[in-house]
Amino acid sequence: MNEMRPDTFDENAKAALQDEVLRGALTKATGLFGERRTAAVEEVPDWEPLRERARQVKEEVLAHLDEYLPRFVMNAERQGIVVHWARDAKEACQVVVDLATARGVKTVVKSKSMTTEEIHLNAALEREAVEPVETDLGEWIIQLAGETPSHIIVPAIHKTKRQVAELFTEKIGIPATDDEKELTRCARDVLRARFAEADMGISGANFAIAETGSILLLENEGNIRLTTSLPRFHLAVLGIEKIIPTLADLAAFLRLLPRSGTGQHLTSYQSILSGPRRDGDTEGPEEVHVLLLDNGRSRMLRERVTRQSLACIRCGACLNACPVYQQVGGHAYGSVYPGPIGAIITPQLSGLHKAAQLPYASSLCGACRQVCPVKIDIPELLLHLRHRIASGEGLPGSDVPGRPLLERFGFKLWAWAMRGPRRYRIANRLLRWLAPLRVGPVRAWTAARDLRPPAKRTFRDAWRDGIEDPS
Amino acid sequence: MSEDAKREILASIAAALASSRELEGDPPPLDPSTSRCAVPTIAATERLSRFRGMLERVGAGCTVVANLEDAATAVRDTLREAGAEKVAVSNADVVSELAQRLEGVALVDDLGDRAALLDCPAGLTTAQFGIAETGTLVLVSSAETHRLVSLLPPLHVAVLRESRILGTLDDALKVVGPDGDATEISRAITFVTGPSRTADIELTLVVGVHGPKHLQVIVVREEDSA
Ligand code: SF4
Repeated sequence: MNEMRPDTFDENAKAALQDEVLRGALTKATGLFGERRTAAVEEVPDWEPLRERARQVKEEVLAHLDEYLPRFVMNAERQGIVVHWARDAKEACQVVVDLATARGVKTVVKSKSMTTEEIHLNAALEREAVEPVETDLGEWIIQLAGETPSHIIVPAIHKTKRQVAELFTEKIGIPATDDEKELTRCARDVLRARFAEADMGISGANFAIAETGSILLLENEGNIRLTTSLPRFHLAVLGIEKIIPTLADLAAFLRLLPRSGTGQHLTSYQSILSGPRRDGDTEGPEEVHVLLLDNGRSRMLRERVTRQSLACIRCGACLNACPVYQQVGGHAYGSVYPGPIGAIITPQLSGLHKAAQLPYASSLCGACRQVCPVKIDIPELLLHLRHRIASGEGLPGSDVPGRPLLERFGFKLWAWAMRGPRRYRIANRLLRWLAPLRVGPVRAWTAARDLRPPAKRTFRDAWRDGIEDPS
Repeated sequence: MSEDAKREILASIAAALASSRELEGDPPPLDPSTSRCAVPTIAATERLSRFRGMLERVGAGCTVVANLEDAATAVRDTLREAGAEKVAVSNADVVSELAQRLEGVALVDDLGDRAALLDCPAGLTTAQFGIAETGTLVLVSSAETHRLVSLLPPLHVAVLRESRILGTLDDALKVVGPDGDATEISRAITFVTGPSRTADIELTLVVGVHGPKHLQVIVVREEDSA
């Protein structure tokens, strides 16, 4: 598969639209999760106040992260957890690689973590001859196939059972079958062996609790429980925004997250983990470490409007509800974070210039805002980012310019021209002259759009001469 | 390097928030009136039936028995049905008592013997609490060594006293928290709601992917002997 990047959303989307299998699977998955979500939400009479509460808790933490983050760290360290920090992806990978190689780790079992995908940790480990093994069934299928996830809840949604069977036959040598139970059993056996031999488990975290220094992980398969209890060394990689104040605050999120994601009233397992085994314990990892990742997050705290992106609990509801995502799927976004949430997070994390098409990959229908369990106003953010791109301002605290210089020149020219008729005439002439050359601002503008060839006469000329067009 | 990173990240957070406060003012404090939303209490008399109903909904079995004697019978029946001739047992007192009454079943009780645990068809533990709202078992690692016994074998049998069934998630988070029963939070608190499951291949539900395929909960009503 070609590598997809966020700056080629338009081409990626075109390819996705031609993939019948992908579109069928997407329709099925997004429809099913959407229905299940609706049913699960209806069971909760206080759904709206619950969302409001969750949003307020997140806003409270983010607006005072300078207090909550150190509190989490202090309590985690008190529990015997070793805390590491990384400013960016490269530094994060270096920390993990150093920890692994210092302990002679050969095999790492991993549970699904978007944060480790964000920093491209697997590639960094492989370069140092440490083998990362994804253990979530969907993620493992994707890893065997050398692909990337297409949905955040069901990463291999784009693969049919037959394709999975062929992949298993080729990679692990099982006889052909198209029974998903049999395929799952084979995966369990192969992965059990990997769990047994691994010296290190790497997980993400859904929440980190300031009051106790604990992390919380939700799952259905049990691979997270294995990852965090079997190997002698457990490392959790998490963004600095995952903090919530107290254990009691978890209740609201536990009611919101599974219902929004898969329509379950609760996932099969939640693990609240608070440090390594103590003297006399016969189980649990001997070492527990946490790596806190910034990678562009702290600068998102600067404004209320961008800060709300950090409230996301990665439930996937906005993906399932999004008419654009339903058609093109996750790959088209060219980023770990697809769908509406990806369209707002990717440009903020990786820089507006690298993902300038994403804020436009939306019809602003508002379906995402309606389902979001933490009430993120995604359309507001999309408009905000579009404005920042169009004005060429970029984002505050970021040295990344919004658009290439020449396109910014185009917007500046536009802004200047709109201030008076004479200016408009001059600018118009200039553009009409530049257009056939497809250079500078015109080329940048047309890279993702079809520019209508200029009319032979300008509208102004036609207006002055009486409206009929002679051509 | 990590020290530099720590200092710089904290400085960056402080600077971002300072600029936000200057331009947008202090965010409003948490509205206390929202904190009690969506916490319906569940009366003690309704807890068992709700707990049982929720367990059935997620595909777990639930047997309610009068005393420990009957619990042993229920455990034996469950093991026999599953064809398990061996069972891994946790170090809880109740489990040891039950284990003595399981004639003809081999016991795996060396909890440090990982290979034996990986190979065992069934695991027997207690649960420290139940949650009626969601049909959830709460396993607290400081009370019992059961992280692996409840996870590795394909069948997990859990014994729970009826009086330990709490109403809601909020109630459970309170008792396991630092100002609940424990002075300090336990190393691992695991909430278990039904068997291990996946729908990763064509969205078809399959149970028992990495953890137990079957969960059987045995609720003991009699107080003193359990
Ligand atoms: S933005 Fe909201 S709906 Fe979308 S993944 Fe995040 S929490 Fe879920």
